[in-house]
Amino acid sequence: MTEIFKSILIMSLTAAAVSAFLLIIKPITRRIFSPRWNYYIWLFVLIIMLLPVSLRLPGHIGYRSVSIPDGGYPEVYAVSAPAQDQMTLLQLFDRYAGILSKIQLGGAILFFGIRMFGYVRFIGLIHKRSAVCNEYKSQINIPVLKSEFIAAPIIVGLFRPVLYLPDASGEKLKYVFMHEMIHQKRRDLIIKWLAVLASVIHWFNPFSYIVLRQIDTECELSCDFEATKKLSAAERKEYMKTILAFAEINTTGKPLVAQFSSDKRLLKRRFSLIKTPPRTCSAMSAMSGLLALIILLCAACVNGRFKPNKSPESQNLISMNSDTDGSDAAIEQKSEEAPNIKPEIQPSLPKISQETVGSSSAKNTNAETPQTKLKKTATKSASEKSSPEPTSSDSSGNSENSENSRNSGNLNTQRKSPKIKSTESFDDAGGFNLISLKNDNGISYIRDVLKQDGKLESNASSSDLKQSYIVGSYSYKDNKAKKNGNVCCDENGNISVYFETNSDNIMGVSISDSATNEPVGSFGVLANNDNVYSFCGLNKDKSYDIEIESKTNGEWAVEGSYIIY
Amino acid sequence: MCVLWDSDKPLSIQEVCDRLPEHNWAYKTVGTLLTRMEKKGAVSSEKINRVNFYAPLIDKSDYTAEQTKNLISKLYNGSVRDLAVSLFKSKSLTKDDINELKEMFDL
Repeated sequence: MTEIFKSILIMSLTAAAVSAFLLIIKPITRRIFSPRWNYYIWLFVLIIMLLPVSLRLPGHIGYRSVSIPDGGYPEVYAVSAPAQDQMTLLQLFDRYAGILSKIQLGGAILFFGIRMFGYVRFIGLIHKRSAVCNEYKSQINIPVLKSEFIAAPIIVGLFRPVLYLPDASGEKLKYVFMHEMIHQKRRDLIIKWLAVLASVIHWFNPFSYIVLRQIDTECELSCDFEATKKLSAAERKEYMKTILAFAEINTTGKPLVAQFSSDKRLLKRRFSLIKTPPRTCSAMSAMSGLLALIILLCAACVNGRFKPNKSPESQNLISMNSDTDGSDAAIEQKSEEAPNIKPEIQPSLPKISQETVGSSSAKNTNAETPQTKLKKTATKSASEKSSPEPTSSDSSGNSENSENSRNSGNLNTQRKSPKIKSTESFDDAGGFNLISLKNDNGISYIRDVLKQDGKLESNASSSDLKQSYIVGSYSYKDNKAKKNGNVCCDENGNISVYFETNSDNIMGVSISDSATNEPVGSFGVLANNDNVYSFCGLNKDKSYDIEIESKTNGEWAVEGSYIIY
Repeated sequence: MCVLWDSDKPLSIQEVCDRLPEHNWAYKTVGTLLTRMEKKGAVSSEKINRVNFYAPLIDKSDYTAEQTKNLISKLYNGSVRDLAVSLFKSKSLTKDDINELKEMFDL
């Protein structure tokens, strides 16, 4: 519901921008492009308003959590995080989106109702005193009726168009039919109804009424142009005289000030066009087509840029964040002596896979999928290094040890743009974002940033991430899930987890509702590749249980620490 | 208007008031209304002994037709204009405007 509303807003803004642009260049386009171009260009604006056309440029998108089959965790690789500054405005907007969307819907229904009511009433009234005229069957292919109450020839009816003529029409109807037939052929009625539809949906946007007027005007102008294209000068005069003759039927003594100037102006414009039609050459037409295409593409791109994020599970990740290019998963060294060994793991394998972890986390897999290649290298390097030294095998927080081996020198330089949080959120819980940490930043770095924000360390039994963070550890000796209960998400509706373990294994994280025990979502984390996994779209009033376990079959010991914030 | 049509002779303001169905229309209201209608040419007035007597100028069918046309015009300019296609849209060109156009384009 609110998604649709957001789309409508985006479409509205884009359409407004394009309309403004078209209005600005109108003096030029009026002169150099054909009346047809000037008419149909507004169709593009209509398309923008009615169809959510958008081009998605590759970029940062969060993922929906893939549902986890029993025993399997999907492997997810890093992707860039959304820009932080964009979000705060949107967050504010999100709060009111629900109400606003209802207002928009209500307004649209209201305007639609008013229009339809007036329309139906109108047709009822003019139809009452009308008589069928069969004499024109040869000249025009839609039914013709003469009505007492109508002032000018008019075609109404979207599905079964009918032409109503005023009683006092006289016999000189040749040009009327010519004009109306062109309207019919070009399906101008449909276009006008679409324009009205757009103005009803986008009733709050003043530009939609401008578009309505423009389409109206350009429709008439281009119709005149088409009708008189092949007429001689004398015939054109007759055409114009016909129009004036109908105008004379209903002259009023006193002009209604608001309207008359624009109506007269329109007639002047029409007559000028008829009298001296512009000549268009094919080069102009080609260029005009190109310009139209460019406008449409730009609008589509703008549309795509701001589209609310919804990515299907099967979508391939696009580019890797340059942060992780070349940088590798560091294997955590608990002891100070050994330098960090960095195996050459290429994290440029963007794919969400649903393979069960069982097969891929095993030491050797035969399938040559990119993930398993990764696994192989990981396995190799894991076995290469000396046996892991769990400096902390007790379950108390061992983040102090990890601090030692981190380059705290990096902290100061990195502090400028601490990308450790996800500020994106999804409408439904279960989407998550990946944020890549740069340059060996780890738990200690995150803690520093959090402390800067005023957050305190909490205990593992309950925690509100708006004010605190949780540090914990996991050891293979336990080999059961580590549970952090009653955690409330942070101020963005997210719960983020970061691991440091002593080997490249998959850690599983699952989140469920504390009260109902319903699972909200889960993901598998390839530990030691510098990615923060951030659950999004959580309810700020609920508390959640977070379970952490390791999916190793015991071949090597898994020990590590994590931070939840 | 209905009151005036129903009677066969011109009526004064007070008489119109008396004959109005149901309610007590204020004398002043009726008076103003009749004056305005006279300005528009719907009624004529004749002063007999310092009292105005009003008679209808247009007959019923013309009047209702006129009203309907007004309504249709309002509806058209309101809702229908954008939903229909016509030869021209103006309902309010004055004779001067038309002459101006004729001259400008040599018609």
